[in-house]
Amino acid sequence: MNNDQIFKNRARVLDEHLAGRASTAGADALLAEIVLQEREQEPARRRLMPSPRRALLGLAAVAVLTGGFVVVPSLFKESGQVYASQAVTIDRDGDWYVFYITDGDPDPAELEKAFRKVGLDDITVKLIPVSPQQRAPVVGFDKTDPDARMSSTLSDCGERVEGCLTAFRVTADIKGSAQFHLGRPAKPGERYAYPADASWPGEALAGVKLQGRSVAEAVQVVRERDLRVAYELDWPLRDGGDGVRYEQGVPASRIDPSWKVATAETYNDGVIVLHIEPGAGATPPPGF
Amino acid sequence: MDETNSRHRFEAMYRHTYEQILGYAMRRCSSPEDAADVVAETYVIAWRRIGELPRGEAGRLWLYGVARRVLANHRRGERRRATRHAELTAEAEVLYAMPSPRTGADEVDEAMNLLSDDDRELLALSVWEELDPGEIAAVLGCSRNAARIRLYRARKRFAKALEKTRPSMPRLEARPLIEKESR
Repeated sequence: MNNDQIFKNRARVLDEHLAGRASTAGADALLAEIVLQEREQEPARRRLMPSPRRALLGLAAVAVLTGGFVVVPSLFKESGQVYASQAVTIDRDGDWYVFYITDGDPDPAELEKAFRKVGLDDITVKLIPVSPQQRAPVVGFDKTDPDARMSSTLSDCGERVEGCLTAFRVTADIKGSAQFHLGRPAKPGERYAYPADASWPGEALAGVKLQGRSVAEAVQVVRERDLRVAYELDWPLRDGGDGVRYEQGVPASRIDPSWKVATAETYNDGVIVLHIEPGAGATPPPGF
Repeated sequence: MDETNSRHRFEAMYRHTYEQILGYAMRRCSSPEDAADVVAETYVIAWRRIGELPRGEAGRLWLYGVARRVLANHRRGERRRATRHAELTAEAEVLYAMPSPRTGADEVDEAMNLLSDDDRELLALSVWEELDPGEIAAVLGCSRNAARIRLYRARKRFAKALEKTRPSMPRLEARPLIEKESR
């Protein structure tokens, strides 16, 4: 008997012994109980990031977070393949090029070569470390053409191209230079170049919901885990539009402990960035 | 995603993965109450975050990742019981009372106890959940290569631990009969 088998034999139960368990009274009751609970809503939050550090991510983040998640049903239909390599397949879909990435750690040079093949001569790719849980493939899109548009999809692109991991699209008539910032899974301990939701599995506050809790409570939860806190204030847009503008690096002295947490983010560096909704009557600083 | 779509998607995912998540919890929890809590909490989180749940096979790996964190929180004494799940607990009690397929001597338990939690979990994901290194990487949030290397090392350490706790067996098994006869 090999060691794997010895280990296997120590299992209290194997999955095959649980066949049929998914429809027992207990499973039914739990399912019924859960779906009665409120789900977390994910409001469309427009990211406007004034800081130079994030400026390069700005436009694309807007695209990803507002329109990018919308999956167009026809995305994987009625489109024609114009290029395919081991790393990427490209379709022409009306006014768009659609890129299906089939390599988990793509070589930027190979992707750029593929772009050249379809006439996108000025598009470059930069890989940046992101949370392994990050699902949007493109975390930044720098462009000079104001009319160019880009969106990611989180739907199952494997339906169109076998082995597809992620897909995104760009308007085919894009002019001037542009650069995609594609996420690659950060190595253990490596700092992310793009923030992740701290409550995602594998992240510092996995499964912990801070959204809606007071700053005082949230800070306590974060510190109990030996993590540090940084603050950003999410100011509503002045024109009343849908979205917020982030004020970064806000000192604790400007935060009222009773204000509510909007989100908690991590760069995998021991700091939890709490996004705070300023309470009623709070005065935004100049420029916000 | 509207409410009805979310429900359908959640229910399909729940039915599809329930046995595996229950198995994951039962293999790691010493009491039926804990196993039921872990299953319930894992799916509560999945429901709340249905928008982030990957489709297809990646969804199961995502759930293992959630279950792993829930279990770690339980072990730290943190519990959030958002559901009653009394029937599930009762069913788990029946399952725990059933004869276990466990075989072998206490030396194996001893060898398993010599391993670090990380090594044990790697081996468990590989052998109990039957995940390949790429899938283990998705659960643990590391690269495929790191998972492969860590699994290789965990296997070596388990082999060593087994040698330590039952020194005579592997050598006896390994010795060719012919040598014995020629002496």
